[in-house]
Amino acid sequence: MHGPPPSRALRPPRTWPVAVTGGALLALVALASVGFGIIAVPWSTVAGDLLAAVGLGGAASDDHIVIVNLRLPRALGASCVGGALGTAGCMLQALLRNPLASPTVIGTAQGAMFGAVLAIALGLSRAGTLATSFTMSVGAVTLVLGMARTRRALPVESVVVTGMAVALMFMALARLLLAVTRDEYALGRMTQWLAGGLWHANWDELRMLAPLTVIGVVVACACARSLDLLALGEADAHRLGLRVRRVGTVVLVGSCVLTSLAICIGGMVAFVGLIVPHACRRLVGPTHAVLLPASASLGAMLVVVTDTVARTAVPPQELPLTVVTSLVGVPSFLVILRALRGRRQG
Amino acid sequence: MNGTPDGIERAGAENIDGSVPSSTGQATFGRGARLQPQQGCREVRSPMSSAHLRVRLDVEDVGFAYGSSRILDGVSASLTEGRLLGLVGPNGAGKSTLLRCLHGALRPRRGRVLLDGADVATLSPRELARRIAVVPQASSPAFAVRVDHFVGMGRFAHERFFGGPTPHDLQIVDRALDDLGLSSLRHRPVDELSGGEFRRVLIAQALTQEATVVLFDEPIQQLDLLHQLEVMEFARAFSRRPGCAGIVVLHDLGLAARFCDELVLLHGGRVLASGVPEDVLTREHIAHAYGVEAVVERSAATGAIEVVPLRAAPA
Repeated sequence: MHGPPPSRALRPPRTWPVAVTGGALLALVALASVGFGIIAVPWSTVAGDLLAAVGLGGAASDDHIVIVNLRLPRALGASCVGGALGTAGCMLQALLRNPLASPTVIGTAQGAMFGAVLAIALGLSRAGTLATSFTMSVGAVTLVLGMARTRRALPVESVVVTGMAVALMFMALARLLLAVTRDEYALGRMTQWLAGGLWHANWDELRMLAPLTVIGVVVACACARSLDLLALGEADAHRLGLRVRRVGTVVLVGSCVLTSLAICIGGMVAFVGLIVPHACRRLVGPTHAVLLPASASLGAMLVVVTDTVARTAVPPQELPLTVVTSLVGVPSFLVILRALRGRRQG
Repeated sequence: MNGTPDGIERAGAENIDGSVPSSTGQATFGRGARLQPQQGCREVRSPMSSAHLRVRLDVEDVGFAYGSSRILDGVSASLTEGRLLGLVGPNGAGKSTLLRCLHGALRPRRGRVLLDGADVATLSPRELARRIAVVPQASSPAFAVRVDHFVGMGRFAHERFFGGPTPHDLQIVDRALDDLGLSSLRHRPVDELSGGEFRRVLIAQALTQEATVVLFDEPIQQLDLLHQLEVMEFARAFSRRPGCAGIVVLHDLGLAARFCDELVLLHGGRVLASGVPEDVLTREHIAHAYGVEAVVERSAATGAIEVVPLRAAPA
């Protein structure tokens, strides 16, 4: 501390301390959430059951099934949904240089949603659902950027406005599909999917989707430096040596992958991708090396908590997840809008 | 178009005009910059020092158009090491467009730009950023990044994809901040800086690229007198460094004449005149390019020529 510092420039913040801290907090929140429910399980029992489940001794309790096969995958699924949406929102905000961008605002989430619902109507497999969902998500973003781009610029306002229009269109398409579907079983699943929720989370599904989500978040964190440059704008990023078009496309596609993963796991969940990066920018600053892991873990925690609220608020009824997130999200959105307007005037 | 090879040779010959004070103030920045002689680049022999002066940038008959509106039409010029070249001309003459062509942000429709003999169009953005730094007119980061982190982004082209900045990178950032007197502002968010401070931040960022050619795009716009002088002195000192060179786009003809070794006067996308300031900033050229009747006189205080605009020239 007292020696002459060889370099005074502060090292840009590192990814892993934030990732480790965020991960640890998330684990605590997720484990806590497992104890809540119609059957309240003391946390000591939860811990014992989990140890037993991974073969570290201890006897499984009577609630073993509820904890390990129902609530734990739910917590994991919620973490994946939140982590993916937080990260995807962060990527879109950097790429579009717009703190209002998010998967739901620019329509990639609704595209993915329509894709998922379409896959259910067609009776596709899980992988097929993911693929359809991803394709529609990319389709939505291509449509938005294609319509919003003028000859030489990509104006922020027109991206948001076009995005909202495209989002509404895909939502309408999903509802149309709902209206023409005859199959009762498919209809039920589609309706629930539109409302968002993690009631169907199970190990089978997560075994495939959770690792993909983790990979997506890690890859995004590896691109953090490029996102820093993208947020400076196309001209600046290019003059500093970034292949803007190529990296921008990778980031866009990456955010679509994460969004469609989130949709395939938890259905429609609004506002997480918008609020979480914004809050994290206040917490840890705008450098993506820390902003991305912070957004991923805070997003995950937020969805775990909202999902816990959704399944315990009015038992035995379960609230749709997106209802809960929107009730938190809409006021936050308005607060952000006000703050932005204040900054522009001041 | 207008006799390309001849144009280049002419510019080259004027580079070595003896009236230019050679390597006076040494820049305090860019110490880490190294230069290897590149193959295929021209050299001109200076009568003053008999040293070989390499041509760093060669602009060969460059043409550019946005759609059907032609912006540049057969521009040729060259930049020799140790020189600061001023790009002047009225609004819409194509100065900024030419600058963008020079660092690969725009691809010329016609002609080519050679950096040390290599066509700029064939170099990757990363390669270019290590060799040409640009100080833009403005920059608006979407989020309020801190000064030292913003300046540190200049190291992007030197960093490996994984791992981020090394202690070496941080030292370079530190030095750039020191050289521009920004050390006390390092923790401030960039959106809280004054115009003069932010300009210095942009210059510091360009310096961390360790490029030996720096392009300044209207660097003194909206700056007060003191900051104008500081930035111009900085630009000149940088160009004096061995192997380095600079180009500066300017509207102030007096400062251009005083600080630049040579000028290129653009008008309607063409080079109207180029060479030492005395030859470029003549009454006739100014009347033709700007439509302004002016008096050109030598200032007793600076020894440089000054342009005093009088009135709109009769059509």
